[in-house]
Amino acid sequence: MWRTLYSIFLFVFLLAGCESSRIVDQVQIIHAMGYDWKNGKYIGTAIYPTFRQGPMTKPDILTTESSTTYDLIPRLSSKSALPIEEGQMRLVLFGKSFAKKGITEIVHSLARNNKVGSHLQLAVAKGDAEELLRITAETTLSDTLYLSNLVEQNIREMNLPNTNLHIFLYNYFGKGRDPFLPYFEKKGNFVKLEGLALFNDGHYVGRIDLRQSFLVKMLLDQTKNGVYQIPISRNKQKGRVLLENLFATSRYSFKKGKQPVIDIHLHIRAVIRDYPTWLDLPDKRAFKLVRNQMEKHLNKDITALLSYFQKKEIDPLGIGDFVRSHTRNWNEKSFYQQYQQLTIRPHVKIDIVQTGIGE
Amino acid sequence: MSIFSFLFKKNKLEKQTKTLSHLLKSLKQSSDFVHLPFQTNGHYFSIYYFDSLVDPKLLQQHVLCHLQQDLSEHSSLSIHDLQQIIPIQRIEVTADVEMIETKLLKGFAMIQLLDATDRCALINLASENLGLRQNNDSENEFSVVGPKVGFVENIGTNLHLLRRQIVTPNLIFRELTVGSMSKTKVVVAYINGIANDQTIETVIQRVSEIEFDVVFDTSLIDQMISDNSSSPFPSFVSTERIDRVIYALVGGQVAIFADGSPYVITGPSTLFDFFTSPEDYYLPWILGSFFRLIRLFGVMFSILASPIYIAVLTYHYEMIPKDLLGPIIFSRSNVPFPPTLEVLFLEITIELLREAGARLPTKVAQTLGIVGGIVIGQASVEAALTSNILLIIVSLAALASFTTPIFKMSNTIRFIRFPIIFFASFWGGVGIVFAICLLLIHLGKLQSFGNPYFVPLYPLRVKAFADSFIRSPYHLTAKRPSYLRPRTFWRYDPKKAKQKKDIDE
Repeated sequence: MWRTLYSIFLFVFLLAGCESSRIVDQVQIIHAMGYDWKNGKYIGTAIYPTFRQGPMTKPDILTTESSTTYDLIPRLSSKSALPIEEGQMRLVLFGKSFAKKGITEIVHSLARNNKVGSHLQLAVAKGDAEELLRITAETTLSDTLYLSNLVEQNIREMNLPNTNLHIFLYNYFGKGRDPFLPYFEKKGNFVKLEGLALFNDGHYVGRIDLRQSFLVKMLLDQTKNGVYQIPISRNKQKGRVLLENLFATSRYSFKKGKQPVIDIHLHIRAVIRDYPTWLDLPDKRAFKLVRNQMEKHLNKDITALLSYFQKKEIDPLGIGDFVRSHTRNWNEKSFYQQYQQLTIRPHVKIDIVQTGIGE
Repeated sequence: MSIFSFLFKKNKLEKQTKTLSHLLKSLKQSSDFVHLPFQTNGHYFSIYYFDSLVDPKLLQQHVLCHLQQDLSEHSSLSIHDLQQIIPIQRIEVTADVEMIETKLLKGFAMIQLLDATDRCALINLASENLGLRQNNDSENEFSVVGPKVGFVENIGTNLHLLRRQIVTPNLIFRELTVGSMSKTKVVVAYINGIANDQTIETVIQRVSEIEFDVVFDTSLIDQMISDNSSSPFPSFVSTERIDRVIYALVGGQVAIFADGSPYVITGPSTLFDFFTSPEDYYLPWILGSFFRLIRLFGVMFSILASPIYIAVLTYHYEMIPKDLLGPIIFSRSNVPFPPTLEVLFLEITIELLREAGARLPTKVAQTLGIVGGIVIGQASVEAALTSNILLIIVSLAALASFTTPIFKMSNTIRFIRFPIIFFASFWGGVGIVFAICLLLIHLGKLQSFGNPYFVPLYPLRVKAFADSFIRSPYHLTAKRPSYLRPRTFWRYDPKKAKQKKDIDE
């Protein structure tokens, strides 16, 4: 009895000195971090909220430069009154020049950092990350999470495929797949999501627009949202229909042989949200026409997208990974040597479930 | 008790054989001891009694009056004839000095014939209810639905109340006397054929072995017979509600009454017994179960809310949801203390308020509650001594701890929050987990009259869950819980209980 009491006493009072407390109002919590490569130096920009005057406060910005990426956050500390903590970080934004140079170092550091969650969003900015962060800090009131909320909103409701640190790391380290990230652009005084940035082995190699990112989203996994505009024509009348995805599933199949073929079966259940007035949709023939033209068009778009990937020798869809799961002794190197010659055939099937409330 | 054992050894009363005259002499030292020499029709006798204990009305109407009028019919009088003359039940004739002493001290009158001084008659003239409450509205364990009759200080009334509702010859009262000074009448009640024999034996053995001077209340007995007296958890339910005691007895438990105490102990108890309220059984089972779950949630919240606040704010800011981060930091930004001190400050304030409220007269306590709750709370937030959010958390936790129906358990919940607060402030979330582990280990080891305390969770008794987290409908709770090892299992026929005998069937 006394021995237990004594040991509890010892534990409590001796170990209490080993505490490493980080009281929530006595640390500087970073909400977003930007990395740039400019004039041979790395520039780090941190955006953080101050809640001193009230729950609604303007975001503040700290920026510093260094010759390596490792000591950017420690250098930020020298400009801050409170210790800098990255535990609540929601977004890491890479400038395009930095992304081209390679984001490997940052990614490795993030993968090992136990403070940041895997819901962290990574993104690429056209131009400087610092500039974009400054724009969000100036135009938005009190919203330090503007960009990460923007990304999440677009994943949930619109054309952006699901991305976060976890998915990025899976694509980055996984064999037979390449990572992609949301791509931002500065438009006047606003920041606009402009599609996906594509990476090859940690280096930025190209980008696709938001329309194409919807295709990527459907090809990657089951989705329940996203919109896509398709041109349509009958006789000499031309117009566009707006397709809204209700539920899309993709199925890959692989034919072995000397000329291996990959078939992608894409099944979209969709709503025609808007259509030209000359199109009388409840009519069966019109229905068929629209469906055929949409399927044809989507097939064409997907083929173009895939050939773009093949030309760039990148694999954001994880086709290599899919083939690996169907092949004994799969070899990454030899697969990607033939990647450009690989035949990938999309087969789109659209079910028009609703046509919206017309008239 | 072991710490004070050296005191008891020294002060142990030495028993010596007394004679009646010795006894009378020592009793006469007290001025309320009355010696009444009496003489009618050539019969000489003395009546002895304690003026402060006997009912004067009884003495005049039933003893003196009859002695004066009826004695003339008896030419020769022996002590046994008094039973015919005095219209009072159970007149005892004895020569045992010990017994005479106890009975005199319990409010009996002693009649001694001068011809035969060795034997005396003892007549019960005790004024049972003088200065005692006649009824108890069970306000401390109030329930809106159901009977509002509670036990009172008089054990006779209590036993009467019990027997009125359990109409069976199997309801057994075993009387014991506890306390060297108070000679308190303690009654162990159980239903023969339901309660486990071993439990009954344990209870009677433990109660009869109590060594103490004055038994003020059953809670003293509770502490002295509990299996682990150094645990903050109460081993037995103590209640002033009749329905609770009856429910316990019918389930196979044993009840302990003590004279002078409106509280009755029932045991063996489990942890869940402390969170059930009679109202659960009076409401439909869905509502009863819902409110019981609310109560259990309240307990968890009350214990864990402020430790989690400390742990998250001191160590785990990563875990705060992004929308909550702003309000938390803002409300804490002007507070000069670390979260631990902040929490301790508020928790202790609330404990002070509670303690002061309990000690003060009811009307003042209400005012105090308002002053303390609103003024101090508001002022301490405005003076930036505590944060708004914490004020809400702590007062909610205090509120939640009041939902426990048994007062002893709600005290326990008040108490065990503090060690967890310290663990949380030293080691954060790990500390909370560690503290809860310690708590669970302790609960798993606890026993109540040798029965496991944490049943049905440990040891696991799946069937007993019918009446633990939720209060199942009555056709599912017809069987008595097996962990009490009752001698018969079925309370009633569940099939018949489910049947509805409507006329049109």
